[in-house]
Amino acid sequence: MKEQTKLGWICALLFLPFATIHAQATISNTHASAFLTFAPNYFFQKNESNFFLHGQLNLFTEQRISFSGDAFYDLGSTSAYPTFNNQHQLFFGVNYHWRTSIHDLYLGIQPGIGLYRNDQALESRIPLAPLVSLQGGYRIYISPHFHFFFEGRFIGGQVISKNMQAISNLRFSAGLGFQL
Amino acid sequence: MRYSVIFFVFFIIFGNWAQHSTNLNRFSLGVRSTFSAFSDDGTGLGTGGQFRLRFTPRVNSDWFADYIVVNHQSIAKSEYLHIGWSVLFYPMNQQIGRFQPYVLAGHCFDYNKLSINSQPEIYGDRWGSAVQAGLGTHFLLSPQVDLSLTSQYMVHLTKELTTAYSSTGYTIVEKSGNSFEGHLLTTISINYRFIKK
Repeated sequence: MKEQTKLGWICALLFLPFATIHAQATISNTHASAFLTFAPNYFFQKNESNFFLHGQLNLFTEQRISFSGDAFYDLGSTSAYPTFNNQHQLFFGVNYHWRTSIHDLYLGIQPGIGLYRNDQALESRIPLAPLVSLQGGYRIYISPHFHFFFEGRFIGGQVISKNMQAISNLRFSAGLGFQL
Repeated sequence: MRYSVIFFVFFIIFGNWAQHSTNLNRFSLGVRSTFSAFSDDGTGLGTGGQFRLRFTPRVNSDWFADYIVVNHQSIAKSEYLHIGWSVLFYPMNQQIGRFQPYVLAGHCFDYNKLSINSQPEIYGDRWGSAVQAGLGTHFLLSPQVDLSLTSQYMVHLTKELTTAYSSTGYTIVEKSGNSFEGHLLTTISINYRFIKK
């Protein structure tokens, strides 16, 4: 009985946000939103994936346009011998949205910069690489304060070092976001 | 180094003036990605930013700074820092739908550092000057926000750095004479126009 009650509470908490979906989300055309989540990636030219802590701050300047800044912090790799010991990225750019009061589909572009460090290479150069990101995503506003989101992005660039590294990859993020 | 200090001061003063100008609709701020091609170096990618000051309805100016990294024949890493300006002229009085094409020409100061991939401690660097000209178009996402695509050829008015192979390995040398070499820079930029409301 105790287990059933616990399960009931968990279900209620999980589905509580969905219960508010049909409530009209009164979200301003110009507002800010943010999220913090985990993002895996897939490198095109090597059998290696990394996991990142992904933070985003998004500012709607009008109904269809938002400016967003994204930061990715490397948490580790699936490979025992990763190409880079550290790789972190920063992006800033624009998104174009097709929005209703609940649904929001968007495409965007962001120039960025990445820091790529390989301890074994012992390089004296600053390991910075210019990057460009093309992203698309979907949001569903579940209340005036929360939304769920899914976002995928292509990141293009290359690291020029002792061993040339093409670092183009696909990256995915999903989770709960907040309207500020 | 002297050029960079002069331009940096100029950049700050103009940026500050523009922000406090009463004609805020003449000022826009943005970020950009640049693809570099058709140079002796090879291909590369850059990231930067710019602001724009519009002098008249048909004349605009672009004040930019870019950091571009080029793969120099898979032997060396060539890093460019471009700081400069271009004048944009709109040949048509009106937009074509959401597009507004332009021709542009300008000048920039450039810094180049070339370092050998296998021995990064071997490097050479130089400051120089360059001129650029090309074509582009704004694509207006809204009255305040535009995406701009620009393609321009930049000619370096200085002696270029290159790699040379000797018995001890690769070294960095300066080419003899100004070669007027350059690169084709294709830039996509995102700009926010500050409109006085």
